[in-house]
Amino acid sequence: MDKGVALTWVTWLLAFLPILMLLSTILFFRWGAPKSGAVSWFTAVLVSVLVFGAHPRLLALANSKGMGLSLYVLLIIWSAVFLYNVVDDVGAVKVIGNNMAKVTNDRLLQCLLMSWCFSAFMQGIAGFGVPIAVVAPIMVVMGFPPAVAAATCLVGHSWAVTFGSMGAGYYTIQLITRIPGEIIGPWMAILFVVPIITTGFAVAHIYGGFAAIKRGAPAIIVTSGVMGLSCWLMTVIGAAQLASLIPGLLGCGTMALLARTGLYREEAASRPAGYRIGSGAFGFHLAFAPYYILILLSVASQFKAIKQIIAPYAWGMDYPAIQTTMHFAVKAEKMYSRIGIVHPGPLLLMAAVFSFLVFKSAGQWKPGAAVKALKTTVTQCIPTSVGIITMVMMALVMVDSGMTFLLAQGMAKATGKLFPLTSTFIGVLGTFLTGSGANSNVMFAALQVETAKVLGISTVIIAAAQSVGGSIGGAISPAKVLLGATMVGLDGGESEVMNKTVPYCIVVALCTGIVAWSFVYIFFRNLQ
Amino acid sequence: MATGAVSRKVSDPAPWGKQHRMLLMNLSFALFWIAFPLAYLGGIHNQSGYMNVSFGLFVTACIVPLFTKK
Repeated sequence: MDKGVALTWVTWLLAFLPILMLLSTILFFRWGAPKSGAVSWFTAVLVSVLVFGAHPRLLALANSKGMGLSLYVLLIIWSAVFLYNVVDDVGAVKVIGNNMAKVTNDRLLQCLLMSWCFSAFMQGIAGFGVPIAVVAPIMVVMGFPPAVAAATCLVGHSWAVTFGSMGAGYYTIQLITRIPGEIIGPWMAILFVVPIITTGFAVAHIYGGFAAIKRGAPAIIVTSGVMGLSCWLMTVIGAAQLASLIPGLLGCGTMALLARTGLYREEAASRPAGYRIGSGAFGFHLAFAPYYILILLSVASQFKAIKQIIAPYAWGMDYPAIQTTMHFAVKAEKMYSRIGIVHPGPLLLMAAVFSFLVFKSAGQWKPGAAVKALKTTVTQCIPTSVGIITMVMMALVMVDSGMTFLLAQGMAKATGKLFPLTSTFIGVLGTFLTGSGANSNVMFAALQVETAKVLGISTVIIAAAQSVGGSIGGAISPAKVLLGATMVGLDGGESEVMNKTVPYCIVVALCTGIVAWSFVYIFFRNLQ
Repeated sequence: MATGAVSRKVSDPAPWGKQHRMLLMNLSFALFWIAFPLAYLGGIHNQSGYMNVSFGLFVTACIVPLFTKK
């Protein structure tokens, strides 16, 4: 197969230009994702035509693939946000949050429970800043300092980003890298053990320094074990869309059990005056019903008999093989970005319908809640969607014109054996720039996998490292930091929160990078 | 709940790009989806008409967000 344009400093820099454009407009001009994505798409199209031999047909197919891929991801995002808004409108989110706060009186455990476990659960069901928006204000009301509440939520939820939003980041990396979920999922879960443990310790350190680390160590280690194991289990049984939700939930349960042990009974909570918990209009299980339904539907969709029945009902597009005028060949695709009934989008919508029935029969449904939730979802999701579409299209133009392949060749040459260490940081960079782990995977997953191929190392581990890095980057993404600071009343105090989260993010990414490097070069050298 | 949703008194009128951000985003979003089937059909059947129209729509959809404030 011909490999297109030859690698030189000039061609490499030209191939890097769209990413540079994205970087500079976000960092220096502080543009949002839609504007930066649009400019980067223009740059990618221009460079691909002038230097990499892209022609109108190739561009039309690449842009169409980008739209197909966007549709896949956006269906998850829109449905997840809609379900969350429905639940929020009937007052169930408040009930869930209040019940979480009642679990323990120990301040350190409360901090870990809310920012590390409950926020991961929230990331599992909604994502896109919802964990920060919901959990951080509750923590402030519970008496935690605002900067601590925002920083702990940002760092604490970051391990759950990839499998969060019903697995948006996980499905994206599969589509981009063409590595099947049953292969990459478990490896991602194994690599996620590092961020799960380190973010737990980071939360304890933000809360109370080394004394809190020492005191919290048993709880962090035990809960990490439970969350890491359940995360891996979810990926193995084919329910990766629940691999943040279930571990987050089990983490909360483990914390609740630990709160009853002698280790964590001493320190009583000192809450601010006027603080009351448990003021919900209905019980926890009713409030949680939408997520029980979602879990049930997700698990049911994995049964072989059900899978066989619904398998034919899927939609996807076929693409022909094509090549650039510089002879870079693009393979044909069958059922590209396949969307079936077991896609998380339809499952989420079904959960929303069943939740309506449950709340209605319990007399808790508010008339007009669905319309209100839909309106809120549209307002929230359209700017995000435009940002995702432009960036996905940019990524696909770069991939199909051979720019990504050339970038990978250059990176492989420059970093050599240290590449697995840097691949986690590349993932972090992607989320820092775009505010989304899924976007980070869109931007850099193909580049990382191509680089791994050039170096002859495991593409699976490198793709997993990219996605884990993208997840960790959620702790320092300016959009989320801004949201966290605003929600806890630190308007204009973003830098204070950012200063608290950046060092922890670097440490977590470094630890993950070291483990990824050891997997690639020591423990699993023969893995493809 | 101390959500910190600070209300600010703004004396100056909001810039045009900020005032109409949602409208512009909706327009851009709609244009992308109109262009999608045209790009696919144009690419599959190698029809330059569809390809040109889709490209024009994509370009317009990408230009629109540039007028927004954020």
